[in-house]
Amino acid sequence: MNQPVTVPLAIEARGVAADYSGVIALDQVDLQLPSGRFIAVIGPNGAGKSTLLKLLTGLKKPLRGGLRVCGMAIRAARRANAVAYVPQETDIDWTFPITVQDVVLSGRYGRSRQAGGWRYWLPPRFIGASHRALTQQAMEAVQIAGLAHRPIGALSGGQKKRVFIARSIAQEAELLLLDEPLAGVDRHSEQIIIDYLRAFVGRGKSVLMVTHDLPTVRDCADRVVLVSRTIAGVGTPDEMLAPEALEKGYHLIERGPAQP
Amino acid sequence: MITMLHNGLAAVGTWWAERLLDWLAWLIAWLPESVAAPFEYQFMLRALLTSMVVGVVCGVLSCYVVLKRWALLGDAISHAVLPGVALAYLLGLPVLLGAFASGGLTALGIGFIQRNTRIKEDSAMGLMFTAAFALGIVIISRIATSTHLMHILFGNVLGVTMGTLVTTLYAGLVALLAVFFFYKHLLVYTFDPSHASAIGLSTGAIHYGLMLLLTLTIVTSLETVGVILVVAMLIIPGATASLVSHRLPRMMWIAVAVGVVSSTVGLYFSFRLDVASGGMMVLVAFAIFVLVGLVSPVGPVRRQLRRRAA
Ligand SMILES: Nc1ncnc2c1ncn2[C@@H]1O[C@H](COP(=O)(O)OP(=O)(O)OP(=O)(O)O)[C@@H](O)[C@H]1O
Ligand SMILES: [Mg+2]
Repeated sequence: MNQPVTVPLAIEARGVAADYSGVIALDQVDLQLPSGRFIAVIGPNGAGKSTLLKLLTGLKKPLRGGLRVCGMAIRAARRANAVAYVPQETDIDWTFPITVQDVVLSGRYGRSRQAGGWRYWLPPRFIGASHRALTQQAMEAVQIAGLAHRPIGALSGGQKKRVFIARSIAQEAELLLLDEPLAGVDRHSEQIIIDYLRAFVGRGKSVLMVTHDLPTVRDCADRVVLVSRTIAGVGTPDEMLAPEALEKGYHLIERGPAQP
Repeated sequence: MITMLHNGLAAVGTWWAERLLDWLAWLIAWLPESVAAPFEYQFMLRALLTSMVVGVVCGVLSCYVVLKRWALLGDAISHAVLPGVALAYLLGLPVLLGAFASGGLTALGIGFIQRNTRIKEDSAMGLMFTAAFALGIVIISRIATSTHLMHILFGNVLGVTMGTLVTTLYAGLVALLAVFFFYKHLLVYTFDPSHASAIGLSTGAIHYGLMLLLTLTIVTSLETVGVILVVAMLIIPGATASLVSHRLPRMMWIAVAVGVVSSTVGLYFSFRLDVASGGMMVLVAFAIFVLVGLVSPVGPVRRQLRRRAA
């Protein structure tokens, strides 16, 4: 990839590998993705897409290699609230006793810490009016303000996704990581989500979206990363969605589990 | 220096414990004579206060145990504290210290087995905690009488001394303050650890912090319900509350209510019927769970009523 050196990088990975109890899930990941772009991540089930996002949130430590996001080491990026995360459907316990509003408000927790003061150490109901106002705006931006007091489990698939988008809006991040935000989502919700993501990128921020929805990738993405236990390719949607490129990525995985 | 601090804390704690006991006695005086009678005894009052503290703390922590699916981990830690308790007793060290040490070592051992072998988490836990428990039994059988062993395994709330009561009060206070000041951290961590990490919270520290809190709660409850049954008090209140609440704060209040009611009512019946207090408390808690389960919005009673109405 030949990027002009002046473009700041949203994501930078050098020789990254990740494992679960010794079983390698990702290996030799080298990436340099510019900021201000809409990047799609595609690849077969079990390819390591979610693992890549977990590395970028810092939840998972890489086995080898170095990662940077928004020009910062992961630790600094976390402290700066630079990265927001929208989880995959299966990663959330939908019976959890929490309301829509409380989920969105949790997007402000890190900002509350950065602002300092004793309020940060109190339960969220004492978080303060400015944080609440931003939470309200975030819910309005994706049209879920009317659902604010519903339990998270009592929503449709598309509404659930929008709750987490609202949480990321409340967080005011630079880089937005989304794990299959369009799975099980109807046209109406999909339109709201895509419109928001486009506007977000339009403001110079970056989006990294894992998806299996190839038509949407063709319509929206500036750049496509094909993951298949390593980076099988990076390019424009036209290059990466060509049959040969897909063939390559979707077959690599069938060689059986890699060993450390 | 340390002894001064210790004596100071003990004095303050004792003063507060006495005030609380006076207050309890005053409250009980309002009850009918037949119910209030057993609490004429100071040891019964101390047992009552200890049980209430245990009910509150277990209630709060049980919410996290249920939501985080840590029931097996809670069982593991409660068994794993035994050798530490026994050794501390043998060496004349604070019981809390020994319990923390052996609970912590066992937790580390579980992590080590998981990382370095192909054994799965549940087997690793089962393996480590039964081994630790066995070690505890062996040590205790060497140094103490079987009555003593029975007391550690099944609790001896009627034998709670002023010193134990004060320790319990402090441990309970620390646990509740920790949950209050780290409420946000624990909430995001249990709900969505990736988000917790992304906004700069240390998920590792929260994970081990919650484990420490769990250990503290277990040690607090040792005298009351005992090693074997404490895990019930760490599951049933939270499980009962989760049947009927959609927000964590409310879930906590309900779990606390279930915890306190079952520990106090259990204590009362154990005295009246002359049976083991720990067992009685757990039975009362289970009865409450069944009742709430029957009449909860998704339970069979309301379902029948809805069907009838439709
Ligand atoms: N918690 C875990 N413990 C053990 N192995 C895991 C865990 N999570 C993922 N894996 C394994 O790591 C590999 C990559 O998983 P990952 O979730 O990153 O895939 P993915 O690309 O997101 O797949 P999908 O499209 O199904 O979401 C898979 O082989 C999976 O089985
Ligand atoms: Mg995934």
